Amino acid sequence: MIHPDHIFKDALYNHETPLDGKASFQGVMQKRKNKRRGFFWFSLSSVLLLLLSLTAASLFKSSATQPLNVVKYDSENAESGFSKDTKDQASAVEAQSVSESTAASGSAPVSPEFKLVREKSASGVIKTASQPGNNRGRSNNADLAISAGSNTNSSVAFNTDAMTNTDAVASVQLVSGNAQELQSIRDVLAWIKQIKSRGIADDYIFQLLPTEGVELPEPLPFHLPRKARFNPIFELNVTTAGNGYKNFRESQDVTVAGNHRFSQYQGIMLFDMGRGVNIGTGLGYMESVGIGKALISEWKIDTTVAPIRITKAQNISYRLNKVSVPLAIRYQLGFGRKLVRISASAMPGIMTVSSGTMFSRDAIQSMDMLKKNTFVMDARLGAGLYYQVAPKTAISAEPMVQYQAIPGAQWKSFNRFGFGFGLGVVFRP
Amino acid sequence: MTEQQLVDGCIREDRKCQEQLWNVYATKLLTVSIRYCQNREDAEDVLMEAFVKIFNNMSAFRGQSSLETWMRRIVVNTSINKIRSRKFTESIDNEVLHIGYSDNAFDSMDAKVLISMLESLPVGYRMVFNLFAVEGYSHKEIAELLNIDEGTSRSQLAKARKSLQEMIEKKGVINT
Repeated sequence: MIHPDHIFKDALYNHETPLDGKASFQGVMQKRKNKRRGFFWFSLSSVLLLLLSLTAASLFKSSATQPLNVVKYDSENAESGFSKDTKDQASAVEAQSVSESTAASGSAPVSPEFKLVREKSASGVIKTASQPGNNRGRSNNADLAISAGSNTNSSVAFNTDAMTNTDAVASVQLVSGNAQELQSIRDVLAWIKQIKSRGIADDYIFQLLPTEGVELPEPLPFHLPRKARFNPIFELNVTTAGNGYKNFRESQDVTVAGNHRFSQYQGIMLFDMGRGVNIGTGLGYMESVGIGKALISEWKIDTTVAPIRITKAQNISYRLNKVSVPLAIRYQLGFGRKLVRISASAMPGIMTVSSGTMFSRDAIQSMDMLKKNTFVMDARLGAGLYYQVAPKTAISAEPMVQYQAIPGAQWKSFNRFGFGFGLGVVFRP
Repeated sequence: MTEQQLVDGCIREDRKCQEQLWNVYATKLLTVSIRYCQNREDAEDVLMEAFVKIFNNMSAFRGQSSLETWMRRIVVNTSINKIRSRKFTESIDNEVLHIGYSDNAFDSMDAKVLISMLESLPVGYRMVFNLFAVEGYSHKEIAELLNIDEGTSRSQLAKARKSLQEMIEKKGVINT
């Protein structure tokens, strides 16, 4: 009885295989150096990414938690509207109590830039709301606390700027008071919140405030301007995708297990054509790589014996790089800072690198059809989310389908359609 | 240069000591990786990868076992990781290697023939047999290393032994 354990251990445990291949001490040291370099770049990019995230988060947080400047409304004094009158100290304090920043400052500052002139009707409905023409306020006076009614009446604190950034009223407290009057205040607040959520600037809100009664205008369908604005919008995006074939097909004469990956980087300058349509162009760079193993079978036919199938394995890989000039169109629709964006691009360009062997699941083909400097045309269509992270900055995330056309090429091994995922940063200076 | 001096030199990143370590152990450890990997190219990749780990982690060597045993473990672990990452190509390589056999290869029993026999085994059999029979791992250790049951390890070993016995008897490599 043969006991393979001893045979193999005795023969192989201390066996030395001569080094005649690529393995060498220099190779090890080079590999080590490369790993360290990779680690360095990985660390650097991680730190940068972390810093970017922290910066974005702090920007977002700071704009969302701007201190409230309390403006006190004195219902007893319809002429002045807002006052620091001592007889209203109690209601001022009441207003302050709903504003953390005001509580910190210990005073109830009156906004110098606007005032609401209120004429209380018999029903207590706000009649007029207006701004002095010279002082149409920006967002620094947008935080508003209204103490409606007398000292014992209602008090409302309201941060419109916070609503811009968080789509939420920072704090609204109705302490007490005439129910009808409170309802009218609620209506105004709700209306302001509604239109603020569409990204309209503060000065525009007050421009839109009704001068008579509380009839509220219909909000705009989109927060986007209706008219074309030729201020450039810059977009940087990266799209990446990959697919792999893991299993060989025994029935095929040629079958491949491998992976394809591509990444496309684009920098685009867009112009706002109004109603959510942006059109522009820029520069794009694509790199596409594939690596795999092909199983190629041949039948050896001999008259004396049955045909024999001889199967060989072959490592295959390819690389394609392309520079393109993307022509892009974007259409944004939705409400507030969270939009849905549809994007389409045509990307005419030329190949800058073309090497190796292209493959699909059951075909391989040399790159003769796609040489360097060949003209190629890609197109892609995507739809996804577009989210405003800061007043001038938005990010987009969109799945997309890409179609690659190579005029004149007869590809057996080329998949014209690909599905990818794109991430982008949009900056509106 | 003693083993301890080599270790100390490698910890100090002394290039001469590192090269000496390579010259002493590379050929032996290449056999280890060849036994696990499916081809020479992969085995050489594993060897270089393992030496990178050895040089990077030399300070973790506590001297509880011999330096060679410690390095062998690293090579074995690196080989297993390599096999896991390339498992999907198993069927193809087995087929090709099988075609590559010729009867003449079995005329003499040398390490090359035995390695060829190991290579013709399915990956699971080969790993368990190598770990148990050649490296001296227990079934418990194998089970932990390969993330399988001890029972699976035992059955794979039995099947591997049977296949190797049949191969040896059929080809007359060993005259019993």
